[in-house]
Amino acid sequence: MIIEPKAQHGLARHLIVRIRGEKEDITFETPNVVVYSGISNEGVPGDLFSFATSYKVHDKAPIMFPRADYIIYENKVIKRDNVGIILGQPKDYDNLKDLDIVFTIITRDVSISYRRTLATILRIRELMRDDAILYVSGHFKPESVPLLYYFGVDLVDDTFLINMPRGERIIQRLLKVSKIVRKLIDRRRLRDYLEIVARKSQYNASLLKIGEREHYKELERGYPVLSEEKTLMTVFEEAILRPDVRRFTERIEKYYKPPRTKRVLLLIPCSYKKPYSKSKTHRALKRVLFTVKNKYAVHEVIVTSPLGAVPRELEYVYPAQNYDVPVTGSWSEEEVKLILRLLRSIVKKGNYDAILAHVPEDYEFLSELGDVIFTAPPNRKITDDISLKLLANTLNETLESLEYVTREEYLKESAIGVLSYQFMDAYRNITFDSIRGRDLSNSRLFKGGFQVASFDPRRGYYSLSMHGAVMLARSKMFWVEIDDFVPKGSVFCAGIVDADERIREGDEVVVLHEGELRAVGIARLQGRILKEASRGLGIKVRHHV
Amino acid sequence: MYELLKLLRDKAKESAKRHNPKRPVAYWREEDHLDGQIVRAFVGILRTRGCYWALTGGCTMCGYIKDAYMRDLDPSELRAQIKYLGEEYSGEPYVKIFTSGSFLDPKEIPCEMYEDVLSAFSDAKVISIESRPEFVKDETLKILSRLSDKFNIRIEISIGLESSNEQILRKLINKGFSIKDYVTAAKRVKKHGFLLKTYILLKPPFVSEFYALKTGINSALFALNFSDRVSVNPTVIQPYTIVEDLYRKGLYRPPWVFTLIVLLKRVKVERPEKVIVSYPMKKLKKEGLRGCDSCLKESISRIVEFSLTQRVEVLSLPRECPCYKLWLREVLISKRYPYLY
Repeated sequence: MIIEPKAQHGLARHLIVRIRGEKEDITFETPNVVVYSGISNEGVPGDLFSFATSYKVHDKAPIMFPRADYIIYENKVIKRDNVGIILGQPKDYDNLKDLDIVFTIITRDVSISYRRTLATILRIRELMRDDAILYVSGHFKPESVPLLYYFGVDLVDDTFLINMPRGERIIQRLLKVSKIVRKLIDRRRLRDYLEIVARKSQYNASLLKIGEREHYKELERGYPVLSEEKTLMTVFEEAILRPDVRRFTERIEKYYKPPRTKRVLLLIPCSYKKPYSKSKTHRALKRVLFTVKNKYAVHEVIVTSPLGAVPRELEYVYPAQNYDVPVTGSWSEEEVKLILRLLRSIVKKGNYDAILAHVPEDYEFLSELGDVIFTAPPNRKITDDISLKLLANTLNETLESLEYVTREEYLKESAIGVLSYQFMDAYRNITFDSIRGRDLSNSRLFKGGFQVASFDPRRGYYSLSMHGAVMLARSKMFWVEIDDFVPKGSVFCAGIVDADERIREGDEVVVLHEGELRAVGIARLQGRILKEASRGLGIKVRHHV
Repeated sequence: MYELLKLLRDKAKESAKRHNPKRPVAYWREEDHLDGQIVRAFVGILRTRGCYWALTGGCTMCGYIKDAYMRDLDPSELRAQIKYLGEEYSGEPYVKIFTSGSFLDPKEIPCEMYEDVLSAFSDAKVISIESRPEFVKDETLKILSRLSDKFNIRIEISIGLESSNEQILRKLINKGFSIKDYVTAAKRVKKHGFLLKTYILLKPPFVSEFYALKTGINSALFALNFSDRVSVNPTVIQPYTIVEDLYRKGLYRPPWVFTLIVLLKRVKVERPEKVIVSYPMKKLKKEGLRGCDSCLKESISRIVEFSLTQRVEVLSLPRECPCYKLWLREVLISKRYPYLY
């Protein structure tokens, strides 16, 4: 059996599975529905699988599951070659890494509780290899199947659905939904679709909410750090729970380093257009900043929902560059709490002389931060002449007493902000002595005359040169260990021996062989899949030795 | 699973009501097929200490332990029960005296009591009793044989084989004896000249519809090699059993009524000289045989008619009904996917 991971979003994976049949190879894609009833030619044919119990012997089939009786009354893993059946709950010491397909049954008493459903699925998923297939049969609700896919189920079947009222239609619908989900995984937009699915029933809503709140760590691995798509729908308040949003806020709190030199913190509202600096409002503010003396001593932070607070230098980062949110002028309690939490952490880490806020009226909750000077007069747009003039005056006053910050210093500290977000603890290893470029979005970092990295506005990250890669390799983070060869175009999973599990799709990675640097590039899959999969494109190489 | 079974038994014992040891569990009159004709039958169920096998775990589908007294009964109390039934008895030719266990288990009914039973129903032509095969011993059969001659009553011994598939019997039903034990007991019964009736369980737990049908037919045909009569019992969901637990978890559904019809038809066609009966319960607290309301009513009455007359023509399937198509599909699916219990 050959499994090729194509794309991942959350725990949902689009896999292409090729099975050697007797006459010809059989290919199917997951997530999918196994059809035993023969009512559709789509989906995975039931003839592919064969089960045996004490009264039934194996039929000949490409995939033969091991013999298992009383499937729910024992806690046991039964294996046969590379396929396995899980009875009850697996234990920690059960080794499921060698299995390609794992089959389990969800009973009705498990399925009526979303917590137990999640616990069962995620428990097995955690012990399995990341590119292996989880086949779940039994009592799931047909309308929550997209959510099950999101939480790591690859195959479901129609055996328990067929006897439901209008069973045939349910299965036809499920086949269609599976197809949609596969496409959405490819576009990394499954999560947006789930916001609609979650609204279909109370059960679904709880499944998504509880799942994302309690299993953030498992889900976050599967979120890329870049997106091809321009917008990301965050219409509803659960957007705060999105793993990619939560990753952003957690990294800001934990790893992001604000400028070290003394600054003035300027809080500004978000804009519809992304990145923010391309928007009309932000361009107007920029024109004002240009007129101010000592303008580089201003540290701009954009206040927004659901991301909380986005420092100016991180405006190209996913999801700051990609999200879209309807502005209603009202803030929920949870949003306010998040924004204040992030701003407090930035203020605490930074070195600020004063906090200015050039925001509309509905942002007045910012006053909870302490001495905040609101520069925009009430009842006025923040972009009209009077408001802007007031902002310029206040800025001039507060900046007068500050030490002069040079452009070079400003760019360097912005670059450190990006590096600390991108490489987390490893940012200290990436050192540079000069920075060139018109502004941050086309900046390049140099050390001793050699280029270390250049800014990639698509990801909001720095792309490393070979010199930068040497520095990153020393940090023991974002590494991939390969067999003994020199990669040129791409590195495939087949050649990867081991990988750092902290790698996310879109991250900058160094390719090593026994500690020796071979190449640097962008990860196309997350670290755990890179480590465990044996097929598929793993790393797009930029430079090699 | 077997630990759970013990747990369920303990629960059943705890929740058991205090019964009056001087009254039988129940009695009723019905019709049955005997010697080629429809006769009246009298059924009496004695309250005894209960099936020894069920008290320590027992079969996965059996919940009759709830009728047991759980403690040893005084012979005088048993005599009172027999006397009570004897007073209610009104000369039906076919008498069935059951316990919630084995009639031939000396701990349930002492051998001295057999005479009391036979004398209470002395007008009967046939008395039917039930037992597990381990109690079918030469000594007990000799006593019964002597009494049978004395009262001029034929005795029918019923053994619950349930399935002729050794694995199903041992693992899934947890019956506690093997096919070999049954065969030995059956041969012993025939040696002493008694009639033999065998019970077959339709759709044991963990067996899917297709294999329920397949193993059901095989079991009935196997049992007919030894028995004069086979009774097919569809599984009923009884409290404090594995079947009930499975049913709650959504992993067990009782058999379709069409499965029973096909089974009866097939077995009767193969062995027309033997008697095969099935009396599905009409009133059930929980889900009984499956089928749409009209089909179920119609089919059960056909099955009862067949059991009484033994005419195979009365058995027919409603081929136009949507629920028949549903059954057909389930049988086909479960051929490949055996976890559709």
